[in-house]
Amino acid sequence: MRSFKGKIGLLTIIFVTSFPLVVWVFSAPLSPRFGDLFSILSSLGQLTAIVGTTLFSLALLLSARLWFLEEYFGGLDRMYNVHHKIGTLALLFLLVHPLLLAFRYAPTSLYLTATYLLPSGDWPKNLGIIALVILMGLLGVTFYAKWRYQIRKFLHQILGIVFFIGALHAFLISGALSTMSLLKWSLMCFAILALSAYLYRTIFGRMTVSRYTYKVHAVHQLDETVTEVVMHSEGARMQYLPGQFLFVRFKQGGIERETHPFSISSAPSEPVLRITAKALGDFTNELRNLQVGATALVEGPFGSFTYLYGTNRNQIWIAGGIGITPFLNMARNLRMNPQSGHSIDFYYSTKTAEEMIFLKELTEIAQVYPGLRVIPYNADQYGFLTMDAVQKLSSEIMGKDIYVCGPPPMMHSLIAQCQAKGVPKHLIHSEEFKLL
Amino acid sequence: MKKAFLIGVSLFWVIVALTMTLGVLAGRPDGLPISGLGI
Repeated sequence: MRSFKGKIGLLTIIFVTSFPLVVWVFSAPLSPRFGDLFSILSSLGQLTAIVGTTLFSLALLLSARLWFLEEYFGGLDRMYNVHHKIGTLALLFLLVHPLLLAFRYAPTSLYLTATYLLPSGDWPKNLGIIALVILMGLLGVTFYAKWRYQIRKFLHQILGIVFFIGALHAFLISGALSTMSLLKWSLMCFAILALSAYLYRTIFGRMTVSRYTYKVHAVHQLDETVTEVVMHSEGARMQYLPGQFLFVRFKQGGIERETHPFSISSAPSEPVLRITAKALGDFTNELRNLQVGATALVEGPFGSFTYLYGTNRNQIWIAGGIGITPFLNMARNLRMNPQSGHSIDFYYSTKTAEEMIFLKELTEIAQVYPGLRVIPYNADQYGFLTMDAVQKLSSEIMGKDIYVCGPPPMMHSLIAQCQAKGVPKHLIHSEEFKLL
Repeated sequence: MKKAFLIGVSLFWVIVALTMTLGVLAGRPDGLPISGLGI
């Protein structure tokens, strides 16, 4: 049931994107709109613009991190994946749009074709050119620039303004929208929704998005690169499930403008909130310098990567490196609930044995909770973990829920191996978070 | 998605550049229909 619910979001996107197309088809007789090459290219140009604009609106809506939407996509990480895909798809449709319109003139003159693509005295058209060029540039930066995360994030956020310029182009230019009122109003609704989401999250997010206020209680340096931040609540405590994650911003010089996602590593019943992070960038490097007493603004919880949603109580958990953090929360929750009846083989995979900094704690939990079997697996000694090895050590993988979290190449490989062995998709759970 | 972006944007600029070149060659509003290229 949960797996169907997780697909509703994608189905809705397909339906919503199809709706203006259906309106376009039934708004006027089709034969004159496909009567000759000029009309065909004009019609296809309009259709690509309609699909591109609708997808762009939806991409903007999904970027607003609206908590009530994530369950329909199977978690926020998957919702963001859909955001990335439909955003890129929107760009591709919008790139084809001017080319189709320009090549209407190709049978007459390539001079007219070329000049159609250039800015002119037609300002609604110029707005479209400006929006498309900036859109390409900003997405290029998102995909390829190696700049600091916060700069890339800021530039990505400007896409909301680009959308506004593009929407002005769509509604001011003479074309299908100026004659088909239902089409115009449906696209207008999508655009208003998208811009409202953009204003709510990006422009006025500091005021409109509700956050929990915590204080940094302690900062523990667990090894050279891994830091644990312990926070206590200053008011209402965030309620969460084991395996979920949060977004946090620390009000401390240097990093106070940055909001980042982290898996929650404390069990839900603990009086404090803990996150555990590996120093992989500027922000995570700075965590070790956090001052006790610094304010933490926490938003969440998000995600549906939790063993509590599993179909079976017999489960396999596979953590790779710092991908252990959601499992820490889950394992700590098992200790608090020894009667839960779950039987779990927990593969703790790292490159070296020295990196298994949580092994001692996990072994202690396994003594309290006999249903948990911890299997340390370091790549230096055994090579990369494979599902063949899992099958050998766990005797059977079919009929069990499999949870995987770790570096993306490892996750992709293990998921592919699970599927090759015939494990149904709904029994494979993974979390892959990529903001940009 | 990165690959789709790269292919899409590259193709777009190649088509635009070719069109501009041919537009310059055409020289005037009624010049060089695409059939003139043998297409």
